Amino acid sequence: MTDAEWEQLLSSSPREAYEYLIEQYGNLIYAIVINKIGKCGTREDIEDCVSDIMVEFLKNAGNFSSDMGSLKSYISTVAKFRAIDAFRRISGQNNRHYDIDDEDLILPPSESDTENEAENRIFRKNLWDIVRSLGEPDSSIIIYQYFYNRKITEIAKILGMTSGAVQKRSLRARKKIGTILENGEEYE
Amino acid sequence: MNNDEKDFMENLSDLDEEAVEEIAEDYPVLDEYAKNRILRKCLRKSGLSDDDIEVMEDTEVYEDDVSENDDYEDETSVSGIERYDHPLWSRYVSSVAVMAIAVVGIASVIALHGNLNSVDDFDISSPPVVSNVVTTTDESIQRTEIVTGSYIDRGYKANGFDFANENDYHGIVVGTTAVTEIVDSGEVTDITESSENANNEYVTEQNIQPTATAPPETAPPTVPQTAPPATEAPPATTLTVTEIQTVPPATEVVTTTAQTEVQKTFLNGLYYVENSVTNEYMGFEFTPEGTLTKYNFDKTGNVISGTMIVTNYEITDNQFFFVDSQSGFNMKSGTIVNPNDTENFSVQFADSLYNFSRTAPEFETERITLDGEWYGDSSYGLRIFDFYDNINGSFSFVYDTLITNFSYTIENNHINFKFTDGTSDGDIIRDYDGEKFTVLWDDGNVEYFYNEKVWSEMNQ
Repeated sequence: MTDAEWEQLLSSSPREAYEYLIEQYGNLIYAIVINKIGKCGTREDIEDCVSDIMVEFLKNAGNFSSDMGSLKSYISTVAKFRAIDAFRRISGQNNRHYDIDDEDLILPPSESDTENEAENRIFRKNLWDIVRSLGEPDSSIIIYQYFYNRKITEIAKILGMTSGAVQKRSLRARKKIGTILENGEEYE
Repeated sequence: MNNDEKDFMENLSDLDEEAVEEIAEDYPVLDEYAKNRILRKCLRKSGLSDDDIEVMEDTEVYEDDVSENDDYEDETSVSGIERYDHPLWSRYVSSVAVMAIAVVGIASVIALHGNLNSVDDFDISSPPVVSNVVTTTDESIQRTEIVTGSYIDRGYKANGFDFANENDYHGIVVGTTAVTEIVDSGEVTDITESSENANNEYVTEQNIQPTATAPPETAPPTVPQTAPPATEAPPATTLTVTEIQTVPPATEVVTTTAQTEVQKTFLNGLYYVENSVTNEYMGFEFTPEGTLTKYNFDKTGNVISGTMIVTNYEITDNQFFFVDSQSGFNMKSGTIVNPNDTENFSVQFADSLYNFSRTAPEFETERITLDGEWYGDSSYGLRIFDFYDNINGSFSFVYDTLITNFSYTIENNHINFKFTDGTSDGDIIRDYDGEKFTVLWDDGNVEYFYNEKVWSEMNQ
C-alpha cells in the first residue's frame, strides 16, 4: 500500500484501516507484546495491549511518512515501548514491590549478577537457535506452547494434529533440547 | 515434565527483535476469533461503533484465566441469599452476656488502679533492662547507616525516571562545562535531638558501662518478686543497647575545569514530549544560550513543577544529542530528519525515532542505548546508569544544576568513573529493578540513589 492509499484509507474508513493493520501487522505486534508481557499478563492483557498500540498508531498515523523508514519498523518501535509500559503497569497491579530491608536490594550487586545476566542472554539465544533447529512440527509446537503460551488442544487445532501427538512430540522435543543444552551438542 | 525442563523453557521469551520477527512471520498465532476481538477493542477504544461486527465465540479463549475462576467458584462461592431469623431468646442471652462482661471489666479497672498506686515508689535506679538487644554485626551497621542516613543527610535524590521536582537532580549530559560539586556537610547532633527524625537515624551498637548508683533514700517499696534487691548496687556489666545517632559529617569538594562550547543553532523554542510512564508531558526548551530547560507539564499544559534544569545539549547541522533523563536509558546521536521544518522535527536514531512538536504535546520519547541495543524491559535487571556518549570520552553528571565531569570506562552494568581532577573515583552500578543506582567510592563508602517513587515510599 502506498502512502497515498494509506492516507485515503485513513480518512475514508478508520475501520478498514484497523482491519488492514490487524491483517498486515497483527501477528508482529502480538509477538512483540507477548515477548514482553507473556509471563506476567493474561491473554486479555495481551490483546488489550495490541489494540492499544493500533489505536495509538492510527491516532498519530498522520505524522508518519515514508521518509522516516518503513511502516513496519515504525509500528514495531511503537509496539515495543507500549509493551514495556504494559509490563510496568501489570507488574504494578500484581503488587510487585521491593522491601528496602531486603538484603539483595541493599547490598550492591556483585559481579556474578552481571555475569548471570550475560549468561541468561546467551542462554536465551542458544535456546532459540535450538528450537529453530528442531524442524517441523516440533519447532512450531514448542513455540506455540512456550512462547505463545498456548494449550496442547489449541496447538493441535492450529497444526491439524491430535492432542496426543502434540503432547508426545512436545515431550520428545523438550528432552532433545535438554540434551543439547546439557551436552553442548552442535545443532543445525 | 520435570521442573528443570519447565524452567529452561521459561526462557523462551524476552527474545531479540530478529527472533520475534521470525516468529511473527513463520508462526502466526492470530486466528479469525482473535482478530475479531482485537478489531472490536480497537473500534471501542476509538469511539467507533462495533455493533455491526459479529461477535465470534471461541470457547477456548481465555480458558486458562477462566478455568481458575471456575475451580474457585466450585469450592468456595455461594449463590442466593438466605434469610436468617434470630430466635427471640438469643436476644436476652446476649444482653445478659454484655452486662456480665461490663461488670467484670469495671471490676478489673478498679483492682488494677489500686495495684498501680502501691508501686508508685518503685526503684527506678535499678539497672536498665534492655529487652530489645540489638546484636548487629559491623556489616549491618554500615548498611543501615548507608541506607537511612548517608544519602539523605547529603541531600541526594536520584530521579532515574522523572525530572527533579526539587533542586536535586541527577542526569548525564553531553559536553563538558566548568564544574564544582559540593556535597553537603552533616553534623553530629545530640542523640535526643536527632531521635525525632527517623530519616536521619541509624542504628549502631555501643558498649556502655552503667554507673552504679546509690540506693534511694526512701524506703524500698513493695516490688514484684522479680525486681533486684534495692540495697544492692547494680553490677558493672557491659550492656549492648541501641542508640540513635546522626551520620558523621562528610564533605567533599570536587572541581574540574574543562570547558567546551556547545553549538546551539537549531530550532530554539519549547517542545513537548509525552512521558507515558508518568502520564505527563515534558517540555523541552531550547534557548539561544545553549541551555535545555525541562519542565513537567500536566495534560492541560500547566506546569506541575517548574524547577529549571540547566544542562547541555549539542546540535550540529544534522546531528542531535540530548539526554533522555525521564527514561533512564542511554542515548546516542541521531540524525535530524526534517531540519527545515520550523513546527516539528524528528530525530532518527539507529532504530528509533524521536518526534518533537512545538504545538502538539502528543509525541512520545523513544529510547536507545549507547551500544545500539534497546533495553526496555526491567526484567533484564541491572542496567547501565544514564550517561551520554560524550565525544571526548568523558561524561558529565548533573547535581543540583552543577555539573561534574568524569572520565569513564564501561563494562556491562558498571561504569568506572574518575573525576577529571583525579580527586576520587568509583563505580556506578545501575540497579534497574531496584529503581536505584549505587555508587561505590574508592574509599569504601557506598551511596544509594533512589528514584522518586522509592524515595517517597521511604519518607512516608
